[in-house]
Amino acid sequence: MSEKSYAMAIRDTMAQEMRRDANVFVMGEDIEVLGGIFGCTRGLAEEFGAERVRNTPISESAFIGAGLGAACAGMRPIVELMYMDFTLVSMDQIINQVAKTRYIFGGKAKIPLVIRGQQGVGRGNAATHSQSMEAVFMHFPGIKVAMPSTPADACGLLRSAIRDDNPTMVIEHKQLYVMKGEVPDDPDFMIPFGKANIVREGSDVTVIATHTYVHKAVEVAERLAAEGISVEVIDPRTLVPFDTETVVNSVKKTGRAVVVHEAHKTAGVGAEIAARIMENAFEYLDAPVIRLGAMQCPLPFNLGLENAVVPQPDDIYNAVRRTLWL
Amino acid sequence: MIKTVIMPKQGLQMTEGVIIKWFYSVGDKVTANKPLFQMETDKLTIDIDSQFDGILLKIIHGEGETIPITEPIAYIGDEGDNISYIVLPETDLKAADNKLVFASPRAKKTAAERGINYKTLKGSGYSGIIIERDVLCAKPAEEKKPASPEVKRLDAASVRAQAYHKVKVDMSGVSKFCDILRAGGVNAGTFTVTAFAAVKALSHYLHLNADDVNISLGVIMPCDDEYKKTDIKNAERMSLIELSDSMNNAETQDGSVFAVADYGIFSMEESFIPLRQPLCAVLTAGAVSDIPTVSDGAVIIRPMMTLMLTYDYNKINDVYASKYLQHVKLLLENPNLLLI
Repeated sequence: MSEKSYAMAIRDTMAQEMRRDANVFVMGEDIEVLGGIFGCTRGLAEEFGAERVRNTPISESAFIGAGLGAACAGMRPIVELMYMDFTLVSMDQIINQVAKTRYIFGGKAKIPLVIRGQQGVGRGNAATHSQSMEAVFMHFPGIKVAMPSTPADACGLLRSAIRDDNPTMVIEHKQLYVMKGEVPDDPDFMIPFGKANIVREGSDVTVIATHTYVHKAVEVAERLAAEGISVEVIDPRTLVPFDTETVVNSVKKTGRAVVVHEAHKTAGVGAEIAARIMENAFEYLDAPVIRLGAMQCPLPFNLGLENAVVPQPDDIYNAVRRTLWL
Repeated sequence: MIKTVIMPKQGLQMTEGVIIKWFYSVGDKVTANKPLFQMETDKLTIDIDSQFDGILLKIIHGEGETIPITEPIAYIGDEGDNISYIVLPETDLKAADNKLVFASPRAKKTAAERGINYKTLKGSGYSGIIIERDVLCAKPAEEKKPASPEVKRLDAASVRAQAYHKVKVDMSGVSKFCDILRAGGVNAGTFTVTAFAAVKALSHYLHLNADDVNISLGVIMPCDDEYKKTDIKNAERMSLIELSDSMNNAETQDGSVFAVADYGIFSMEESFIPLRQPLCAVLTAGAVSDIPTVSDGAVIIRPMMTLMLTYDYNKINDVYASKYLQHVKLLLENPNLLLI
């Protein structure tokens, strides 16, 4: 185990995989000399050279398409997006090409492509650089989606993604890059996709949270524990495939659930999770499942307003109590 | 707090009574020791006083109905008390079945598992929705189902006010007394002597025996895997030998209101026994064990036993109960007095 930041866990994992497999390479904007604006590729160019750490023009559609082509041809590309918001300019490549190619070729073409990058609020990056994109990629079949919430998860999930023969989206969070944590040194450490993490066990209410909200939910759970309310916190870790079983079993135990994420509440991932709970554990529910997410408005530039738009720990606290009819 | 009014037992032979008249309507204020209803047995017509102050929350059985003794007939409580937690009689269940009631899926599931009709409950969720904790607070329906008289007794017992006193008794005199008896061919143990002393004392404290001079002594002893109560009629007329024989062979059930219980067999020190109808008091004998005690400033080892008297606080005065227990202690510590 070594203590490292989320960003360094990502960089080290990519470096280890590039050493292990010569077909693994990275491309993206400002990743070579600068090492990416969040430092996730820092030092990689020195070790692996510009051929394997490739700077791209500011044209996400072009370089995601290039990644897809390279993957079809037998390479294992990792494409870094500076902001996940930029998937919007390359949506045809991702949804129509990356997610469909394996299917269209009857499974004969493997697409070991990783698209990774950060999203979310916390830096006042304003409406077009703070969005949460996961719901879109969960919606369209053909692409796996991981959302690591800790340095260890970032390492284990990214490695699983790189070694997967299917296209994978690893969605990171800008606020988490500086988070430190223990990361296994084992160069084969992987976290399987589709296996949720029960971060904290509890018996009264299940809180399903992603990214930064995993930590906020744990913090709220500690606060509620002092009031005698036992909260179970589950981090699904991957949205595609989604570990419905772990979530449903937890809700069967607790009878109450709160789903919280930073993305907009409307038609968000929380709606999907809430519906799965209802479909699979309806008779176990003692209260309606509560969803928490950003308000239906663009994310503000002002940090104070940003906080007003996305859920706060107090919102989780109140939601948990509401499921207990308190 | 909600209190249950039951059909009272008026005289030993009474098994059921007819409600002639309720002096109050639901919602009226009632006062303790003022007539609440009039009833009739095959022997008499009598006004029954309320035992409680409060609001008459519900009349379960109306005028003209014949009700077995100990069956709940009304509930009295305070303003705002919620009687929905109490499972209602069959007729109300039928009415409830036709009501539109909101309950969480989990509450319905838990209610089904526990045999509770959730529609009779009061919900504590927003807008009165019934949630799981309302079901968990409710009494299971099985307890209320008018099955055997024993079940009815259990139900009535669960709402009785119980109090208890306990006292430590020096059993060295009884030990010697038992040795002498054994030498004389009488095989009576400490529990038999305790029971004998309990009956002797009871004849001075007949209120504990529902003022009946004929003592039917309930004996609670382990039998197979459970404690069973058998009753010994006319225990007050028996010699120690006769009582000993009767205790070993008793099989009858006579609805005794006073009982002695032997928990010493399993080395229990003291045991708090729930009062089941129609029991009014139970004297529990614990195990006899050697305990250092202080006598005249010196520590002496004595065989000591804990006696516990559990009684119905609504019927027995606590000073009265204490005095009775003190009397039994006196007899056991001075077994010669048992000869008088």
